[in-house]
Amino acid sequence: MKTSEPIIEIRGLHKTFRDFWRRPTARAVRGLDLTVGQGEVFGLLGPNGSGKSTTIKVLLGLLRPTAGTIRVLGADPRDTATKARIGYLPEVTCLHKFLTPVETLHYYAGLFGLDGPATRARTEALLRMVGLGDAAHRPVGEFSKGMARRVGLAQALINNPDLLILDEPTSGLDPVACHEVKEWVRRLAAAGKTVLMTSHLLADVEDICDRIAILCEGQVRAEGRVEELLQQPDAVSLTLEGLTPAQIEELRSELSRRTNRPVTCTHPRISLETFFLQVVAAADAAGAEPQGMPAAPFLLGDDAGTGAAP
Amino acid sequence: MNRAVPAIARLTLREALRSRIVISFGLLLAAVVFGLPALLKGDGTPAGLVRMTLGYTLGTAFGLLLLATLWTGCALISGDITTRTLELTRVKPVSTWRLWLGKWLGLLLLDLLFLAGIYAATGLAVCHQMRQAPAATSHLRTARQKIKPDLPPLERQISEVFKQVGGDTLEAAEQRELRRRLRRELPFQPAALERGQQWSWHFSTGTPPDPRQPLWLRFQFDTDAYTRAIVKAECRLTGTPGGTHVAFDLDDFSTRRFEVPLDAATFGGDTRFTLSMRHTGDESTGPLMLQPRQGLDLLVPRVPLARNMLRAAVVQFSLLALVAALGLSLGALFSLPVAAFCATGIVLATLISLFVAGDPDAFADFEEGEHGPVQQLVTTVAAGTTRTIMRLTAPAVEPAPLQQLVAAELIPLRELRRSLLVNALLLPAGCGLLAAAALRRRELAA
Repeated sequence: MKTSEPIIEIRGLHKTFRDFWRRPTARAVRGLDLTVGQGEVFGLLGPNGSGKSTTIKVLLGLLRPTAGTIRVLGADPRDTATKARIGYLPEVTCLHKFLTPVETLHYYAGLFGLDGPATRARTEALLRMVGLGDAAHRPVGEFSKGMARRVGLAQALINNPDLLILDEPTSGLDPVACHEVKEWVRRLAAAGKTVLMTSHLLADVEDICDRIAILCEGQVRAEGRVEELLQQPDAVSLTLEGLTPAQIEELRSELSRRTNRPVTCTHPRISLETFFLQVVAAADAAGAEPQGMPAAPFLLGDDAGTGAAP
Repeated sequence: MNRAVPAIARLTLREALRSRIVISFGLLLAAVVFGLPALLKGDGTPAGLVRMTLGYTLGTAFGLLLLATLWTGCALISGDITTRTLELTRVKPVSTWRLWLGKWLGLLLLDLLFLAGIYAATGLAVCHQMRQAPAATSHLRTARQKIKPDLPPLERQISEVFKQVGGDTLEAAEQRELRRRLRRELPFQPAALERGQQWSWHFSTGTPPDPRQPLWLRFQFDTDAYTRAIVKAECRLTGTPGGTHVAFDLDDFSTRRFEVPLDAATFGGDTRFTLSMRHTGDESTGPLMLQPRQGLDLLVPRVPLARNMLRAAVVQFSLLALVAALGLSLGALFSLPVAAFCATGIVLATLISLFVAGDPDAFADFEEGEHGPVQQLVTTVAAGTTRTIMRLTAPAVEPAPLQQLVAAELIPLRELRRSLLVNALLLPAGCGLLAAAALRRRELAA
């Protein structure tokens, strides 16, 4: 599904914030060039204040660029037609606290012009997907940060977007939910959708992003495919199972002798996330409530009745 | 209509109905509309009690609703910006004017609910009071159309007086000043009817009055309110072309305002009437002072009180629509404290200018007196500012539906249409366009 057609195209973006008297107070982005193709999962990384969120807000039309050109889905990001094809999860989930998740999704569906049946079908599917079926009629104001984040994710998907912009999507979520989000992102990308995300959890980015760009002081300092950036071409690791300590020592000595280089042998570790998920899966198997939820079918193009928003 | 607008309107209404502040405000309004009629003692007459109930209850409740609408309007968009919920709405395919329109309609729906409640409760209270004394309040059951005597246009009268006083011989600047003064003072300048003299006026009612209900003549003599000059006159109302008439006397020293009921059945289906009045006071009485443009009306019963209340509600609703638009637009331009400050300032300036507008000579003494240059400058600026505010706010504040309701006067349909067009459509549209442009320019989450 991945093509070279650019979904996001940024050329020479500058963004300078000014005070009331128009004096520059901060130069958040300085000459940014970025291209994201269709079906890509693109990670925007960088320390605090590096310009990630500013770049996203310019892409969404919330901020105006000081200089540079931006094309999103082939058009100006401020066009309403462009906005109809974008889903956005902000860094801080700012929802109307007095609404329930159902009312929240109905509201945002209304903004996308979805009709009644489509709204109801998508709301039901998304709430099931984010695991909030039981809390569908409680005010969002009573929710924990993680639950509110799930509602935020659901609203970002209500219009079945072609471009999904996620600002810290796993922030505040438990490991199971994080894993689910990553799984949804992978499946959405496989269905042809483009995802631009930021995260401070580098493991998450490494897991799901095809390409990344690292921003520092408003400029791209590194950009490329994840495996290319992280690869150490001059080092090799071998994984062998079922060896005794004596065999390991024998192999190490032989490799060291033949290559004339020091060889380190260690036992590989699974990630803490994998271990956590294994424990939860074991609990599920023992009769606890199952945690994992499938992605809503309409997002993957499996449900003709709840197609894209007009 | 685009689905976004109803969605935003529903959200606004839902937000209000689930807010503790709005619920508390609703309880306060309920206390006013149920409590005031129970507390009011009236002026000792059943009709006075009904009038007070209408005036005080609707006036107090509407005043509270007006301020609440203004401040809520200020808080709606500025509050969404502060809580960053507007950020999520702005990234959806919703234009800024639709966003503003949705918020405005939501606030209007809320106002409609409150206004309907206020009028329903007041209507019930008034019905109850009228049932206690049906005969004494029967004249309040029907709203009366106010018909002014057929007089020459004001401009012609100004020209006539201008010629009489030799205005043509003056310098151009003095001519302008004279015309300005005549235009300001002539509508309020009473004519004097000396003892033994007679005046006549003609009235056209358009459609014949209902013969089952009395016709009313209202006189407002311009005698001093404190010295209470005696009014003694013989009057006769004649229908044309039938020529039947009703005669009556005005004879009182305690009031300068008379409302005289006349049997409408006497006149059959007449639509044109002639009123003649002759000063019959003795040598001790002074002239009768009357300004027919302001102080003489033929009142023809037309529609039931309930329909007139509905018209008053529509006029007030139009004003709420304007105030809501003003608040919303200020909220789109500024933060909540600044918007609320500006909104309250505008309301205060309007009230002050209204107060000044009640006295046509408010600045005359200052402007005509001898002052130093600084005092002259200050006076000129103050007069100019007040007159500008008066002109700007005139379309909004000119209708006085409560005064008409209390006086059992019909609120004309043209006033209703004008109020809806200007206050509920044109001025809010202007506010909306301004707010939409400001929101488009405004950077969110900077």
